[in-house]
Amino acid sequence: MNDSRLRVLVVEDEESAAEVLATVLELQGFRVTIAANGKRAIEILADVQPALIITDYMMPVMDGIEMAQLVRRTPAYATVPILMTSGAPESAVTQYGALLSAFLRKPFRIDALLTTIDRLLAPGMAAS
Amino acid sequence: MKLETISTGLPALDQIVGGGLLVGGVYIVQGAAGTGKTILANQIAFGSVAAGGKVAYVTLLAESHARMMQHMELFSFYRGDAIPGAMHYISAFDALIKEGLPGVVEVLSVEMRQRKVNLVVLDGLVTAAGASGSAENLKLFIGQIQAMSTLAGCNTLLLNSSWPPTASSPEQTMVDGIIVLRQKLVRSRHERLLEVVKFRGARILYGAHTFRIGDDGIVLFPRMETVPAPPLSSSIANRRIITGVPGLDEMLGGGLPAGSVTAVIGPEGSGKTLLGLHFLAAATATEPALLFGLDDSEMAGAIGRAFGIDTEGLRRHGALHVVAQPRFTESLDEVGYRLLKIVTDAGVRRVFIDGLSSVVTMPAYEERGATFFAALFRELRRLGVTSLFSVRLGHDGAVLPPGVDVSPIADNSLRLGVQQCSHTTVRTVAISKVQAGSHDLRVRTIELTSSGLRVGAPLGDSGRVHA
Repeated sequence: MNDSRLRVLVVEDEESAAEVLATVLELQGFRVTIAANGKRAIEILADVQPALIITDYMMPVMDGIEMAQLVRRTPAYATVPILMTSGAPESAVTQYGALLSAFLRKPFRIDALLTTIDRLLAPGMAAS
Repeated sequence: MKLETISTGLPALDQIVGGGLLVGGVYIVQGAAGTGKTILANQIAFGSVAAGGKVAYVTLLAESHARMMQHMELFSFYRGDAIPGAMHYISAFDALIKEGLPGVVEVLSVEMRQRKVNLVVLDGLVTAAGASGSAENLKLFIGQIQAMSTLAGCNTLLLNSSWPPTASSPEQTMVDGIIVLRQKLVRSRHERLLEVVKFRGARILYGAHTFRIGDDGIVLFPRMETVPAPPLSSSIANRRIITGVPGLDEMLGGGLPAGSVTAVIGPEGSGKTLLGLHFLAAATATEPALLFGLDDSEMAGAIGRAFGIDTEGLRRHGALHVVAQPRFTESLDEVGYRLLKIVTDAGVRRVFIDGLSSVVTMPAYEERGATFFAALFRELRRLGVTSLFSVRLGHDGAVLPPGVDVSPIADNSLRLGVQQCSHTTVRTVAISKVQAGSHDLRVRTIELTSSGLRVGAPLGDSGRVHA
């Protein structure tokens, strides 16, 4: 793989939302892979080796929280930043704060997304 | 054996569908865009959550859930704290694209079996139908949803924006019920209508029922004449209710029969409103009255003041409630339920409807006519209310507005007259119909005095008494 672009895994069941997100990220120079639910994301995790995971909360088959729990239990990805986005209020994920690196409530502005990504990918900011 | 049902969370919808949704039943909510399907489905979903249930709202549309949730936040039924634990919004669009209808079935299966939801909303049946490729595939899809719903005891609502449905639509014949939402342009406004066209295992209220979308979501008004009538109150039998005009009470043999409906018919200036105000003024704080008047209730107050009836004092003491007649956006049934709610809440025992014109000119009245009023007055009678309404006559003696027949509505009928005789105005009152008991049929003069309406001597001299 000669592609040096940072990889982002977008986990989103709403196709239109995933496409918009991917387009924005690709314009910023990221290499984007989309998974339609948490289970699919776990299946391709090793192939993608993401530097960042952006995930929806409510998805069929496996939701974003279940997926984040599995990611955190996998040593190779335990510190990958996970940005959760959801139409649900942030209070809905408060109890899972340790799993997540950041939260954005949908719909969000692109500049808010990019600012959050910059913060998460800044040196020394990997998720604990 | 009565089948087990579960409430929709909307009492009026439960009433229309004969109790609620059959547990494990599959229902179509159908209607064109903008008719309120999504709001109704979310309202039923949050109602289920409030009752301790779990719901999966599954879309087959490219529409954003976040946007939908933003819209739902505007309604009082929305509970942000229930998302995502009890209320789960997911998309099966990707599953549909990649795996077809079996992929959607798998998504629904996981929600029912693993998340153990008791209600699934599948938004976008038209998308599934489009992806099915054939009627047989769509039948199979619906059949699988039915089987899963039955096994899991989970209700499923299928939202369908395809309108009108095609006659061959297999889903129409397979599901347990079909609820249709639509809008009808009546004169210059849209009336929202809900109709249950199919519902297995229940005695439904047929016909189109109006509804409004407000802060509380959908508020339904079951078509009044289709609602079964409970037994009448026995406490009102054989009682007489005074009109507040002593001479008229004498003519009536002691007053109006309790629980009866009386039309006061006469031309402008004959004293209809004043007679109604006397009727209201006979109320007490323990048995209050309701004036269902024109928006400008000041007019009735002014008439009362001119003739010694203190409507403001009655209101202050809780003996009189005043309600404005129909607003432009209201449906016929909404008006009726608004009136009945105040009657029930305040324990009203006498109602005066000052003029029917604002009701009878409502578009729906043309279609439903007197059956609406018959149902309204039947309910008032059941609540132990004695009702009076005024009807204006034109110069030619015809009821205004033209074409309105009030005779089937009223048990009793009082006819007021006003005539110019040389330099004086002569007003009269006569009983043209009364439900029960002996009454004086003679035409009597009435005078408008500073203390109100006073019944005078008979015009004729027959001395006839009808028993």
